[in-house]
Amino acid sequence: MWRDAVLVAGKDLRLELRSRVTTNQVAPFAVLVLVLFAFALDPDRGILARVSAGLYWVAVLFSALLAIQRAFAVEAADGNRDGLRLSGLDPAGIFLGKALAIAVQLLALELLLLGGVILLYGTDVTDWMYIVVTCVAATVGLAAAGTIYGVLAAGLRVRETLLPLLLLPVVAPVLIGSTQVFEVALGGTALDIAPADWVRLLSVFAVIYTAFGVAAFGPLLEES
Amino acid sequence: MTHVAYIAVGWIAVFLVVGLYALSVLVKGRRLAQRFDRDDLPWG
Amino acid sequence: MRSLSTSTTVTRGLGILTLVGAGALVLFGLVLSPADEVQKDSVRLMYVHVPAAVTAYLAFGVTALGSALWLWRRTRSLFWDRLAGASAELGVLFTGLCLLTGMLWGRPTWGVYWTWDARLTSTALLFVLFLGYLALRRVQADPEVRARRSAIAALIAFVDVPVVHYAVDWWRTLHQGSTVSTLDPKIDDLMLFSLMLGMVVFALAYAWLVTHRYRLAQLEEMVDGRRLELAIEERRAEAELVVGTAP
Repeated sequence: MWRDAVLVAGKDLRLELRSRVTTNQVAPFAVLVLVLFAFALDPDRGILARVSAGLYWVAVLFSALLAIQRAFAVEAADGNRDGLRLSGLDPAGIFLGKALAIAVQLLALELLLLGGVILLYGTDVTDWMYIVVTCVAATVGLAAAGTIYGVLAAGLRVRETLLPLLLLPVVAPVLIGSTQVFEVALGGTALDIAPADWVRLLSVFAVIYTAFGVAAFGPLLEES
Repeated sequence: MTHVAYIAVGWIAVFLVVGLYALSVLVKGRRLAQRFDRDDLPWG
Repeated sequence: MRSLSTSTTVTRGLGILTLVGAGALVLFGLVLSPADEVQKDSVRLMYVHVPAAVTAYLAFGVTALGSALWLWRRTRSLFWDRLAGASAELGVLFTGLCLLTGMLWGRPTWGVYWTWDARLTSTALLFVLFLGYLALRRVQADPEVRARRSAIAALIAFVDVPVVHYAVDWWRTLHQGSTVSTLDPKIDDLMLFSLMLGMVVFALAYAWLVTHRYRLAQLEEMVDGRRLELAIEERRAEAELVVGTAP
């Protein structure tokens, strides 16, 4: 299973390196979202820095949608989906591989957005530990849930509109939890619920959806 | 009765929505059922 | 002869019972039961709001159960898939009504239609979650394919519900003030009766609705099946024509 995962992840990431869609399209989109927020909220009143935690994670979610759509469009393009199914690779491995590739791209986007938020919104980072831990925990959950719904929506003609509708409500806890921790890590506001508890919630989410993906990917790949 | 408007809208909405949905299911069901013989229907 | 429909003697009886119960609910909820000390008459919305919420949870529970039983090979049968789909539609319906009546209750009580308290927010999220499930079901597919896809989607959504609950709950503990208990701790007998009556009536309505909706789903499948048979027949007839005229 793990070998297949690395195989699939490697293929996806190499494809990305060659086509550079994430770097050329998704990343600019992510930064664009930050810029749009600045247009929408008066940059002079100091709102941006105060709400940067929330804006950051909303930008991450929107970018994630694009990255996931992309990850599965690649398969559907040349009928690769059947190829993947018939390749004899372990479905759980395929799931982990695709999720891993998406997670790597998401982490890169998150790093970029962090830079964006620091530069454009004037936010300060007060706790790097929390930033890193939250990003990792949130990304695993987002990648896992995103991969499951990505394959669910992949074969359908309405996938562009269906994927956001399916995925975004499900990952709402990730948005809530990550934003709460970032509020502490980016500005030092004290919370009633300790950041560690939120990180634990994010981890639970990540574990649940990774487990689900491993279990359900076989049946999901089966159908045309 | 205090707040009559809110109560009225609420209760009427409930009956209306459920009633209209029930009606639409019944009508659609009747229309489709016509295409079959009585013996083909899996119920009754 | 009576025209064909999704009704049977049982559903007719159930339907009549529901209507009678609804009449009783109107009587007790709007007339006989007293107004609340604090909420005044707006408490009467609770007699539809709470039953709607409970019925919605029941409906989604049935959807989850049906989805699981379809996925389990030993109990696999399209019955469970159809039931899951029908029940989800009702769940969304009742959740919508729950949110609407909740807002109408909130306005006179809190002064606002909406407040981001834990319960309302979780309910709103549940609503959208299953709207997505219904959208997924509407995608054209072979019944078995659609069943597998929907079953997995339903369970993924369902598994999210407790996580959403905790996330939203913790998120709002900062603002505990806005989470108000919807009923007084000491509740009048008639009020309690009206509430219980509401639950029973809504449960009956759910049973009636889900039966008819289920049968409608069966009919839709039968029609699709027949359309497929017709198409195959036509194709075969064409082929015979071609083969017949070949030298």
